[in-house]
Amino acid sequence: MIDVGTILGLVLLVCALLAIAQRRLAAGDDAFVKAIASELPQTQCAQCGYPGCRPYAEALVGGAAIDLCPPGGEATVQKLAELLPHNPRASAGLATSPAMVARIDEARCIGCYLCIEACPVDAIVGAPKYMHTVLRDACTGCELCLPPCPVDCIVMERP
Amino acid sequence: MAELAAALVGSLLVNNFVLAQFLGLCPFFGTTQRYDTALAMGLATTFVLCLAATLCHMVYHLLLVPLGLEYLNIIAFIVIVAGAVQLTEMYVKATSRVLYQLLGIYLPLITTNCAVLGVALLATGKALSFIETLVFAAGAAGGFTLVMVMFSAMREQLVTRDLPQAMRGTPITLVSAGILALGVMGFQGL
Amino acid sequence: MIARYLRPMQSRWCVEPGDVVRCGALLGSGRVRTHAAFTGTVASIDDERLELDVAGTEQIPSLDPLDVHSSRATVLERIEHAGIVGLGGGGFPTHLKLAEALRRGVDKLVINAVECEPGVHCDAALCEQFEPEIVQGIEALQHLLDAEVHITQGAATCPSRQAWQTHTLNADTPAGAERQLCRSIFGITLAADERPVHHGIVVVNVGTAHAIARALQGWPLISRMVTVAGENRWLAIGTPISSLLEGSSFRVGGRLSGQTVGGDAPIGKTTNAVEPAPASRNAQPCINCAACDVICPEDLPVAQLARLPRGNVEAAQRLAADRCIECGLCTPVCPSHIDVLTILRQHRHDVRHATTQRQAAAAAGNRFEAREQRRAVQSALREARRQERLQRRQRNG
Repeated sequence: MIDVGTILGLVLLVCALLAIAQRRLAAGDDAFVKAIASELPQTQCAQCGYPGCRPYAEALVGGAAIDLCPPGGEATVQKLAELLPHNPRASAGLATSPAMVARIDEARCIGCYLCIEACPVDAIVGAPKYMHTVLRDACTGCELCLPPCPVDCIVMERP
Repeated sequence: MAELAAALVGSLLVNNFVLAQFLGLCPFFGTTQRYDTALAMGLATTFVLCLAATLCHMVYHLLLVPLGLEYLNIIAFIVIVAGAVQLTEMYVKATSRVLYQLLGIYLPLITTNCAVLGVALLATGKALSFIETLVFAAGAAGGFTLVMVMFSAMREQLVTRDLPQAMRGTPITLVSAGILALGVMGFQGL
Repeated sequence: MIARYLRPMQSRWCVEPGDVVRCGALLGSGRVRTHAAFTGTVASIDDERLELDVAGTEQIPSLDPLDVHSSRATVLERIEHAGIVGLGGGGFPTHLKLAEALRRGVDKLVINAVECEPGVHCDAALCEQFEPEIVQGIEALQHLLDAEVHITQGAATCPSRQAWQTHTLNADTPAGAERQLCRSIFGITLAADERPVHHGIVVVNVGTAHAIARALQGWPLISRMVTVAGENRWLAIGTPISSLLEGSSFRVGGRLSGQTVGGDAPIGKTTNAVEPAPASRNAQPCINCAACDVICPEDLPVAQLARLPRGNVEAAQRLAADRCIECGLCTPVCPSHIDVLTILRQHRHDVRHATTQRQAAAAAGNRFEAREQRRAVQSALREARRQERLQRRQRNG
């Protein structure tokens, strides 16, 4: 009896200590989401189906597929696979395209402000009824400004 | 004092747990692809080893021996080791999720790292005093970390070498580990 | 003759195929401007290059002359409009460099006439033939930056004035690189991520100073001094190298740091020398002699970098490949005839590219977060106003 009692007592003691430790060390996901987001290209293009890179990083922590990011390409998939070994892949290959930046044909811009509303990274400057222009250094090439433009004056080109 | 120093050097180099006694080989091969994970693994194992060895020593001498239950030592030690590993895992997960992911399955596997249980069993078997147990554990843990770090540095270099196809990956890793163990054998005369 | 122009980064062509351009006309604008050095017809344009069918080679200034004592902004704008880049080899846009120097404040202006590579002596010829312009250019820079002038020179003699300090250096490679100059003249060792401007120093090549003087006279940067197989010639930028030398491939740059280019390559803004391409050497496996490690002036782990397969950017970054100054000393010392410099160049390029991408991504992420926050605040305000209106309406009606 005494041997079983001793071992049980030991187990209960260890469990109690661990339960206390668990309270103290409640893990937050914030830092992990940040670490994953820093592996994403931050184009904010929403091609992954989430409204930006941080939302996708949050979804990744929740178990989303790791190969939904075309701007990042296979390199990003590799990195994510290292950090999230249990997340699935959605498909075998990932189509990637070369980096592009947007340019507004300033002569045709009517100053409608729609592209500025659409730009996720504040890379377009201008005011309503005045000409807009793209800050090339800030543009991530997400192409989200193309559909709203009523006069199709935005073109994508090599940086 | 001199005896303690000799014991430290003995468990650190001469009887190095990984390369002379061949204990704890699975993290040695599993987590040494990268220097930073190897160092983290070494430190995590160091923590578990020292904590478990001292706790095991106390439980053995303060609980099991008075009650005449020495034959339960393995079960009792495993409970303590598992508890220490669980604590380490919680801590690593809370402080660095990235590191937690990189160490992956090898972190909970410290539980079955034979070096950890080995130190506890050897220390009680040799009837070492508390201080001696601590020094023995510190030496073993230091030796483990040292070898992990050394080997990861070697493996990072190996990746860049132009090796014959058949030797790439695991084969060259095993061969280099063997050569490293040969080197450590040189300390036997110390 | 077909003249060719390569598109600089972050610039775009502003002419169409078929356009007739006069010498000095603007071909491309953006971060760096490109001007036609000939009169002719634009034959073809693509993403990388522009071809110009040359009709006349006579050069005429296309800008208005500018007084040296104009305002800083005017002089900077002229330097930008003349399309001037660092002619020592770096090719960094000079107006950006000077603007940063003005923003941070500098007190030392180094005019660099050290030519430390065998096979390059175009700056020596420039100093001999264009003394008044060089002096004028240095004075313009001094006026712009309000800094004390240091002249560094090697074998050649740079024009000088009493008030300027002249340093004659032993011109062993890489004595003329700016990090090395900071050490040898001022005793300042730059940290890995520092540039001279962080210590109040701006280093300008003597050719760039000359180009600035010419820009003030009304000339865009359309020609430069080039050492063509040992002989110094004043050449129009865009001139095909094949019209100067026989052969199907050429080495552009000095004998250490030069690069081999194809037969259709033109003289560019940073081309300081051209030679027929050297016979290629058969590379043998590395024997770990570490001769490259020993000779590297930046103390990089060259042998490790040379062994590293391309694509392992993380390892290259850890080995500080981005600190390579591309002096080229590592290639000739290699007993296995490995083209170490080319490998290092690739690693350096990869690491720098990855670093800029990471920084740009982080900045874009921050702007996205800021925008989200701003929009949240805006919608909360809108909601509050709506609630207020609703309450008022309920109270009134």
